[in-house]
Amino acid sequence: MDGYSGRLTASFLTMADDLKREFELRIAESTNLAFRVAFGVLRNREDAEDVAQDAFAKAYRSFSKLRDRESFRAWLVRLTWRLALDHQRSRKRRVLREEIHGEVSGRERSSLEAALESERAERLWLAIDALPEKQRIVIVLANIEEHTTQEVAVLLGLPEGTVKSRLFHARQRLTEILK
Amino acid sequence: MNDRHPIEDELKARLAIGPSPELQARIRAKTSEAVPKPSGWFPLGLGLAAASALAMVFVVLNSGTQPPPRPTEVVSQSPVIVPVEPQPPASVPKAAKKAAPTPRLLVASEVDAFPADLTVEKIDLLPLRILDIPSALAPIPQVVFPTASLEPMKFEPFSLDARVEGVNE
Repeated sequence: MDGYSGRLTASFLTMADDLKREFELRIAESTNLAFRVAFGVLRNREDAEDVAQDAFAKAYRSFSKLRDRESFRAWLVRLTWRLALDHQRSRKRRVLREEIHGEVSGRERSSLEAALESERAERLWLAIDALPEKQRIVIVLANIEEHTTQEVAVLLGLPEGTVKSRLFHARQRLTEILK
Repeated sequence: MNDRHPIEDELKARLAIGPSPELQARIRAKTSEAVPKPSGWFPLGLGLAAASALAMVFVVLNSGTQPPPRPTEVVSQSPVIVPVEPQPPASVPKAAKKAAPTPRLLVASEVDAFPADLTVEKIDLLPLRILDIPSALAPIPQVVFPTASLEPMKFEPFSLDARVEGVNE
């Protein structure tokens, strides 16, 4: 019985070690992807890093179900996108609350000004934000890490035709907004 | 991807930034605190075992502490007098009357068939031939006893004196 329980413990430890090693690989190859997805929503380096970190922590808890590389990346992208949207909403609420109470400090004001320093950048992000969410994620993913439509389809778990259609409508909408 | 909007080039350039070099270290530090959830049949088995153990504990606890039955409340009531009217006798249908055979005496030929040592205990062992219903329902034959063979009873005169004499003796 001792031998059996010893073997069982050893096999669990080996499994845990294997999981850890695989997860290390995923961290190395997917950190940039998670960060960029978060940055596409938040446009703030620190916030994007926080969200990417949270996304990896959540992914690790379910990693035994997501050992396949493609499934892991797809799951990570969707999770990061959702977390970034949540973060953006809470940040908007916080900024609105601080503005209402007139407590925006000089440092925050300067960071806000820094974020809006380029009129061009502002125009870009406003246009992207004006897109419906389904079109927005498609156009962000299509413009990071040289993703093809097929790769975007795999990441979002959608047929390639759907991705192409959403990309087409997103571009049409951007043309209308920026006219 | 050929119909790219001009703004996409700018978007691509802005999204081409990378995270700080510390991010990976921060992620490793955060994930080392978290424990991956096990998957497959093993957690399912653990869950089932825990649920069955919980159910057993519940059953044992319940069987040990049965609450005593609540006494039923007895409310005294004054007796109610119900008037009883005479009911007419229930009429028995004619068909029922015909169906039930009336008990009758056995005829001599049937009596001969009985064993001599017939007792109440042995009556169940009698052959069905004797007790079959058609014969029991058959019309009773007229039995004529020969009156000639009967001897007339002899009456002796009662002697009161003899009895008195015996007593006196």
